[in-house]
Amino acid sequence: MSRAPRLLTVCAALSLLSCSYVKPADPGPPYRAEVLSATEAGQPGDRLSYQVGEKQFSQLTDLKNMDGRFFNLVFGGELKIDDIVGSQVTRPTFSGGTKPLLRYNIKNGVIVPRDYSTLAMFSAYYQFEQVLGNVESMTGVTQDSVFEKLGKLKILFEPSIKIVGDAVESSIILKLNAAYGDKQFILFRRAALESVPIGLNLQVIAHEFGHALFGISFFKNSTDDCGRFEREYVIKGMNEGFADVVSWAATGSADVLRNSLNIDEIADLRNFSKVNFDFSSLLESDGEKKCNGGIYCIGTLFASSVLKAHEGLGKTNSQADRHATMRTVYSAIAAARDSIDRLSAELLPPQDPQDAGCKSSEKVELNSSYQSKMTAAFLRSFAENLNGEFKSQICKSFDSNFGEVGFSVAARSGVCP
Amino acid sequence: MNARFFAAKCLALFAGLASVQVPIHASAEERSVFQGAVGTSFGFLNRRDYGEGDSRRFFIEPAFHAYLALPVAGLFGRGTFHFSYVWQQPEMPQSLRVTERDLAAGLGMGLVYDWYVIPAVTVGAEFARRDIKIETSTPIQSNGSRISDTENLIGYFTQLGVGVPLLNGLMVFEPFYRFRFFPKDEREGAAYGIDVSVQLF
Repeated sequence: MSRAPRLLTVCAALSLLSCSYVKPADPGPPYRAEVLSATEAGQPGDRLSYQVGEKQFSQLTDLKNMDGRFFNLVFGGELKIDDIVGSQVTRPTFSGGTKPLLRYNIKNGVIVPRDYSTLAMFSAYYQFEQVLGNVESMTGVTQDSVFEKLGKLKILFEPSIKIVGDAVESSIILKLNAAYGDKQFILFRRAALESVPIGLNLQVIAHEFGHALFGISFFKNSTDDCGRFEREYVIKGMNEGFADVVSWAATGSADVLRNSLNIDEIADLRNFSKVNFDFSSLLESDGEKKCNGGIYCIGTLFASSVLKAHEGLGKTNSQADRHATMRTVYSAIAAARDSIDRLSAELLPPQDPQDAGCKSSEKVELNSSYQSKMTAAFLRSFAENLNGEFKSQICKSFDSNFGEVGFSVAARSGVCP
Repeated sequence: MNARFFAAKCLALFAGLASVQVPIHASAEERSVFQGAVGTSFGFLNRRDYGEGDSRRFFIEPAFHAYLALPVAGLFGRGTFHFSYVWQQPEMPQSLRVTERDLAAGLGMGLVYDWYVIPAVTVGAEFARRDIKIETSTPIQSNGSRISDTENLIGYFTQLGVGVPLLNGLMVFEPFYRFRFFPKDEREGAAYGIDVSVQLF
């Protein structure tokens, strides 16, 4: 046989081999897969430990499309947003995206990823399921009630992001964060600077889920990103703080970022078990600030206040105790919106023109008496909806963390001693 | 083999490049019905490693070419055998990585046409042995994980190229674009690069 026919024969044989490949059927639902999972922290200042191993999905019903009753993971696509503040995106519009490109093997009935993206998608979905499993215990509201308001949530896996809020559109690759906006979770592209991948970190996923809970409670499930409170700089900060409390309640750790970003300057600012600044220090000039994390600083002070109140009551870091505190906080946040709406003009100043409309909140500086009043109005409305010893404890911790500057005598009047 | 030819081939091999004299520009006396050449391709492989966006991995691909004069003036059949090793990884976090390293070999058959430049089209198949490894570091443990594994892949390609003869056809630089399809790995995308080759006999 001459060389050319030989080559042809080899090619044909290879083709037949390839075409005869039949992928085995997926063993589920329920599906068991190798994913990244986390073990709870013993104390608020502790870090979680993580394992890659076999776990079972509780909600996933369609593996190929990563779809289940409450979540649907979408691969890629383009997300247009007005802006991003903290991990909250404004007016997101998503288009494109495909079903996930999954590559896996099945070994003894367990789905074993063959590449990083597949492991990441399985793991991210699993973390959301883990948080979901705690929702009722953390909020006192059933899963069904929560998702009746939220609907099925999209998990956007590493979409491209275009910021369209300013005059010039800009496409950017965002990394080192995850975000939430308009009932969509956004997992930014992975980065070599991360230790535990941010988008797969249970602490971060729980934090983002906290934004969803804040949305259906304080924002009353509004989809208007341009409403007054949705745009308020201080409220965005409180939203971050509430989300950190959810993260702690779900995982036991108040050191939210250190496992993913082991950079002390960043991780320390988010560790609300050890806070070394107060509200007045946020108003100092940039060079002298002890916290340069923008809205996160306000959030850290709020989360720290909750943790101090929890510990002040002699509660432990057990899941039962954490969830009990979380239920109290959630119900107070849900009621705080009605309370803040009822405040007099003396306690709730008219909207700052800087915050009006839908322009970027990043341009707002926390240096005005307006922001102090807004902070006090929120804290008062929150404390007003607490009872008994927890209320006493939170008043003490607000006093310690926010002082007279952030929680004025006038704002405390009739609520805190 | 004349001295000029020998010197040029040594130079190319010394530089680690493929070296081939393509038949096209050899003199009529130097041409034979069947000729062999060796070359190396350099380029990048695209792969959909991110939700939105490809990774671009460098590859080096030694190749052997066999040329067969066809009964049409200037037209040659070309058979190619290449092998490659791809070790570069897409961006991944420090504590959790799943690396994939491919050792691949491919066979292609195509046509080249002797003109001022040398258009070429090749179709072929490729076999790859992939080494998959999970790598974790503190605070992530992966004891007992079964992700580390090997995988066999078969793919197909169609390659378009345009050769540029240099040194009176002693060497040929052939920029190419390779459409690739791997049924078991939909992430795999196109490859592109330059093939540098010199005639062996």
